[in-house]
Amino acid sequence: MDEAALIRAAQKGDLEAFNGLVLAYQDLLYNQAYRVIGEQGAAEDATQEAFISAYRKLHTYRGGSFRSWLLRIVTNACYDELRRRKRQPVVPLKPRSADDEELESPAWMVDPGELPEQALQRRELADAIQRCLDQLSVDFRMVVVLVDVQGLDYAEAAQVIEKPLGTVKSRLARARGRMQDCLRKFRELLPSAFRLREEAPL
Amino acid sequence: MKERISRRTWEQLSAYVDGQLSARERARVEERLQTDSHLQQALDDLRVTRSAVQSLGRLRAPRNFTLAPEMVGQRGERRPRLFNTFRLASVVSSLLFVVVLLGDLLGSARPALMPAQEVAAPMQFEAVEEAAPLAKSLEAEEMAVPEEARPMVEARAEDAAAEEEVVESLGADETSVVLPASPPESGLAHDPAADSEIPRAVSAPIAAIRVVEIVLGAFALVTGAVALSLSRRNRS
Repeated sequence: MDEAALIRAAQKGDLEAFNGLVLAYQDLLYNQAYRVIGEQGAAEDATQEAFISAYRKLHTYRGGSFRSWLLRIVTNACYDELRRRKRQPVVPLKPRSADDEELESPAWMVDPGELPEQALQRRELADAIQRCLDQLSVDFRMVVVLVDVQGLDYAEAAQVIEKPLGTVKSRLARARGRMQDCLRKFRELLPSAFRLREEAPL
Repeated sequence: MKERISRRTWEQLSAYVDGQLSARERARVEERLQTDSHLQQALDDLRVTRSAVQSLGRLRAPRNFTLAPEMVGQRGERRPRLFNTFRLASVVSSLLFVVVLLGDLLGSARPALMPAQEVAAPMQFEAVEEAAPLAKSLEAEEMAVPEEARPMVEARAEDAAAEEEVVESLGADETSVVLPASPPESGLAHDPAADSEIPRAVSAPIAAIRVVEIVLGAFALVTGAVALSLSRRNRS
């Protein structure tokens, strides 16, 4: 069954059809939630909330990019989760190994085909980038994740965040500028391909 | 490098990297890049930053987020239960209403029999009351009645006893009924004043049935309306 048929069936109340759409889009939505919220448990909650909300609001989908429609829902779920966490700050639980040491990368992030050195490098880069993302404001973070991580173009990103295209352009540029400044601090940790030049003295 | 570049230029570089500039704007940026090495350096750094963020790649979801039926219903857990309760109440009260209404209609469909029976029953009460002193008087009469009149007196006594048995079988509820006159064939006196009390006596249970019908009907309507409202809210 193609996507359009699944959507039509789901709109008529076919939960199995909707779950077919969930399987197709859960990586996309989870990535958005994880990169914006920065914590696995909360990202899972936001993703689940987003799919439940999508099922209930399926009758409001009137065509167009289903991907954008879902991303808009998970974006709102992320904002809700972040607002909730702001009201009730929680200490994020980092997964621990058998020796009770914090694991920087959960098991599902490990690529079994990678050499250990490559895996370490990848993890260090990912951690550095995620830390820099976490330092951005939510609005800037949302746009840079949509465009640079999820691969959306400006028009689609504008649909998701329901802002003009000029706003996407402006927020993305400023977010990249701040990311660049942040990543310079981790210069030594970054692979050579990602090492930014040192700032020239003014 | 970024600090030497205006915000507008930085935005243009950022859009240039993404291929989001118009043809005219792109041409202008490329012209500047050819002559401004600092701008070229800023562009290179911007590309590195963008590539670094893009290198994060897409994570696999740690688990399946497929929905179970109860998950979708759980959000409105209270609503489906309330809806079922009100729907059941509406159905039950509607059925009871129909049953009571049918009973009422069937009851009022026997008008010919009912008045005669209703008249006979109260009349039999008076017959009992009359029969009691009558029995006593009969005993006295027996003492004085000549032999040829004795069968007639004994027949009257038997009538009175039979009427007493009938009255007992009617039960305690009938005691509230006014006791009018006995049937003329028994020879006992008929009280015309009692006839006017028959409609009031008979209408009391009918009035109760009407009230029950109205209550059941109203309850069925209200619960049905609430169930319908909840159902519409669930769908939205």
